[in-house]
Amino acid sequence: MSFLNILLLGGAAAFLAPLAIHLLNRSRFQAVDWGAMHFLEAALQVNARRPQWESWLLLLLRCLIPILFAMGLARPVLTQLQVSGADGEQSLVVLLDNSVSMGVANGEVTALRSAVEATTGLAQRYRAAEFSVWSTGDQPRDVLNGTTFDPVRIERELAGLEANAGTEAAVAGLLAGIEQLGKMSNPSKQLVFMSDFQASQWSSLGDAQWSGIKQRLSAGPVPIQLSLLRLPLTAAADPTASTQNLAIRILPNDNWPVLPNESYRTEGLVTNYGSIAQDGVRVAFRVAQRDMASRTLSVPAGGTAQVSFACEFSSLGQHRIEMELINNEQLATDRLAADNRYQQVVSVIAPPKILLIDELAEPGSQASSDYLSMALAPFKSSAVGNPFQVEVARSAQLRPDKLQAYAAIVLTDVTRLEDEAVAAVLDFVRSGGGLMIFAGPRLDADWYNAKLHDEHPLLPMQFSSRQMAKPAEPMKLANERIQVPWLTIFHSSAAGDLASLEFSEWYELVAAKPLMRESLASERIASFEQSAAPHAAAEPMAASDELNRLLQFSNGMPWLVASRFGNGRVVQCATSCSEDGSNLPLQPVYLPLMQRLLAQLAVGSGDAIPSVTTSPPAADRPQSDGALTTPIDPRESDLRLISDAELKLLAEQLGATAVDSVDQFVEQEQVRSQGQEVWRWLIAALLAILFGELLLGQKITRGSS
Amino acid sequence: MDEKAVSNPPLLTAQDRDALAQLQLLAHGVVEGLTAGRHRSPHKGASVEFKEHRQYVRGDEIRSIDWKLFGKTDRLYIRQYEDETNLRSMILLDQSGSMAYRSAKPAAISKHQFGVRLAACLATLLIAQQDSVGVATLDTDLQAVVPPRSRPNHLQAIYELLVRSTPSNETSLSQALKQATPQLKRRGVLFLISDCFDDVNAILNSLRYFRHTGSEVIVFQVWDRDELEFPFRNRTEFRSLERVSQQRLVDPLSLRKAYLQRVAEFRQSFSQGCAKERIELFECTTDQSYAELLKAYMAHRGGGRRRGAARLAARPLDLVADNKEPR
Repeated sequence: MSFLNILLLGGAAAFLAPLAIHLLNRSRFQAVDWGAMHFLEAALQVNARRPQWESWLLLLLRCLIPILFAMGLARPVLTQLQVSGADGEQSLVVLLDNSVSMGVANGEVTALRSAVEATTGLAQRYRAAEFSVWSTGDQPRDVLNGTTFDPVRIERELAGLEANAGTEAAVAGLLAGIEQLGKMSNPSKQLVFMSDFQASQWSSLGDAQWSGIKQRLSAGPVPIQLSLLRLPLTAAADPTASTQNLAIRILPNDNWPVLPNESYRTEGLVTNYGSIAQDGVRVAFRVAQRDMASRTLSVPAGGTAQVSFACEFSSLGQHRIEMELINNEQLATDRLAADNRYQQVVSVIAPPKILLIDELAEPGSQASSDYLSMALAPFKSSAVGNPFQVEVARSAQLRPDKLQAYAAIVLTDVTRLEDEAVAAVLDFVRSGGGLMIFAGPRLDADWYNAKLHDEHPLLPMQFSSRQMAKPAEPMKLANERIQVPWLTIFHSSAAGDLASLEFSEWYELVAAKPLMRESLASERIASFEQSAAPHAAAEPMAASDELNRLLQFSNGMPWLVASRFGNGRVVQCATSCSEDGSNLPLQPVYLPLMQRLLAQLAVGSGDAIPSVTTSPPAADRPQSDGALTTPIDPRESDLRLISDAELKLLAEQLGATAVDSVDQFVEQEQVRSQGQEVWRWLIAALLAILFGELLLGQKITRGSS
Repeated sequence: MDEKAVSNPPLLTAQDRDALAQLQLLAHGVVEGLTAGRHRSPHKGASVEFKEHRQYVRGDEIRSIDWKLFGKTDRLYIRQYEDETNLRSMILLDQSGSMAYRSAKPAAISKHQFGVRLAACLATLLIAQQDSVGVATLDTDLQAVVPPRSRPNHLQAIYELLVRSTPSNETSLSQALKQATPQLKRRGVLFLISDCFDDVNAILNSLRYFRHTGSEVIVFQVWDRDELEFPFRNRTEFRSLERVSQQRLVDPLSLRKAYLQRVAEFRQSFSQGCAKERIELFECTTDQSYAELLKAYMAHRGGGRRRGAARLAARPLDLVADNKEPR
């Protein structure tokens, strides 16, 4: 124990006063000539048997009163509560949550601004501390680009920090902070996490993650003290109003390609995160910042409502579409404005050119590519745009200079290629073009295996033996859940029924080399999906060889496989694209299936921008150059916070302390570094003793009467 | 026993004479007040009345023979009369050291002074009633005696004895009482004025002897209020009035409860003993009025015999206010 005002401790000597009074009283007495001495003697004998502890206790209490009073004034500090090694200069890392939800205003000040003020306040209080500040929105970022001892610099650097950094990355931020503290030199290490602690973000994190962080906190030679500082996000008296929030986002659109002068339909989803149903919610639709239309809809409490708009794009290039909640009375109670507008960039392109290689391509004759050609460009009239521009040629026409204009090449049951053609195809795919190979009865499997698999690893798999099914027992596709995202539309028969496909002849595709861990197409599409709907990313794609198989037969053998070659991609089909050996071209699913396959191949051609981009810029700061940024995570719109009890539990799991303000942090830090001031306890004890002295004095007086 | 002291009392000093005059004045004043308006019989010996005859036996006084009856019957008969109704009483005043206690209150008197004045009042009252009264002072022994007489000028001897009485020595009341038994051989009334600070059983045993002779015993137990209330607060050294060497320095507050307990036990024990022995007990304090005390006594004399002394003794006396704060 130490004392902050040790000189005042001298006042404890005042305990001598009651002692002196006691002794003085003992030496002073009155004399009485007394007759009834025998009664007195008898009483003395009785009293001698009775303990005199009450008198001594009273004297003790009277001596304690000045001692406690003096100790209270001297402000004692209980150093036993001091954390070992916590004393000395400090290294302090502040993790600032600058996710979108931190833009919620509490009065005039946003939660992020409160966090910034708290950080600068800390810097002012701990002038000797080495500071580092990290923002934890989306990805941890070192705001100061290093450490500093200068509070002015901290204030200056944090002035421009805004709550637009997407989703809070709590775990990554904590790990970054711990790593940063490891690099800092001061012995006392403090990590302060300032956040609003949204339930949607923090409740989803598991015990394993917390225990891992707890281990990291205590792994160093000096344990890191973690403090969780909750910012006053919900100052509203009504908790219902504090979470009231409407959000809108544009749903991903798989209409591809988007062609000029064609109707483009897009849908928005309005979500009500509050507990009060909202009627008359008005949604405006804009294209290139021009108002196109608006709709009014009702959104139930905690529910969603969809709104649909249509438009046309007259020119090629990227077009920004936007949906915004406008002029709503409901917005007066809306706590987060950032998610009231959602933008999407739509790329309008000319139809990609597809080159079909068909050895039998003769005018007026039946060729392997006929069905495919019709599927990719079904309209002869120029009034209606075809999604693809299709050309049919022989393999002899495969020349490098000619292939530059095409997005993808399709080999429709081509027997073999000349060496020059092979070289041209290899260059084409390597440079980012798409290649699709259909295996019909005319295909020379040995040549393909030797030339395009063994010599040049272009084919995903080898062609093995050609299989034939009995007429009564045709081969079908496996009835299983499709893993490839862009093929999932075939789960419903509306887009075409894959189960209707029947095959009588096919090649067995076997893997002679290790399969890719991931299908490139799947990867691209997955990233596509993630960017459009981050919440769906909770189901990551498994790194499995099976994912290389886009679709497979019911016996487990692959029908469609894909792989990457150079910058391009190759899709290999075990059957023909014509009616040779299957009913494929005669089924309704043929057209959408072929269009999707070729679309994916065309997307991967070169470094072309995907035709449909669903990544809007930050909602409140549209990027003029159309740069793709992370959209607002729907979880950020859910303003419910974890409760105080949950925060305490979280702190316990992390071995941290939960604080509500900088003052509380400073107080706790003072306890950790110096010990606990106990003058309040002493004053309380003093009051108790004064009361006890009064009672005991009365008891003794009453007992003597 | 101390006939010498009785027959030749030492000369009174001037101070004693002043005290004597005051005592006389006080005693007469009190008694006049008590007996004013009461009828006093002008006939002396009127109480000698014939009761019965009995046959003469050898040894009877010749003068008591009824000669008229002898003339008629030729037999010797003795005339017997009612006994004398004059009361023969003895006042015993305790002058032990403990009786010297006097409260520090202004105008307070000691227990001994109270006893002296009470004895003077009693003697005056009894002489005024034609009763014989004597006085003796005692502490460890019987110190001085004035035998019972009924002559009015006998009061002077009594007053002088009382004035010369000074408290000293220790208390041995039982022993002194035994020495006083010859002073009241015949049936009479014994007045004991004392604080009775002695062994209860020993006192009662001594008084029982007087009861056996047919005498009535009346005890005026004198207290000082301090002894009943123990009002001391500061540290006090109590010095014994009887033994010079005995002194106690104590904290009165811590002692008060036990002290009062002992006093209460003593009073209860003595009171019950008196009731059992049919001894009339009057507890009094030095701040009480003598007139009130004598009035209580006279009321007792008037009807107390029929009701019994035990009843009187058992009557609680409101002497102590238990809820009084110590001073």
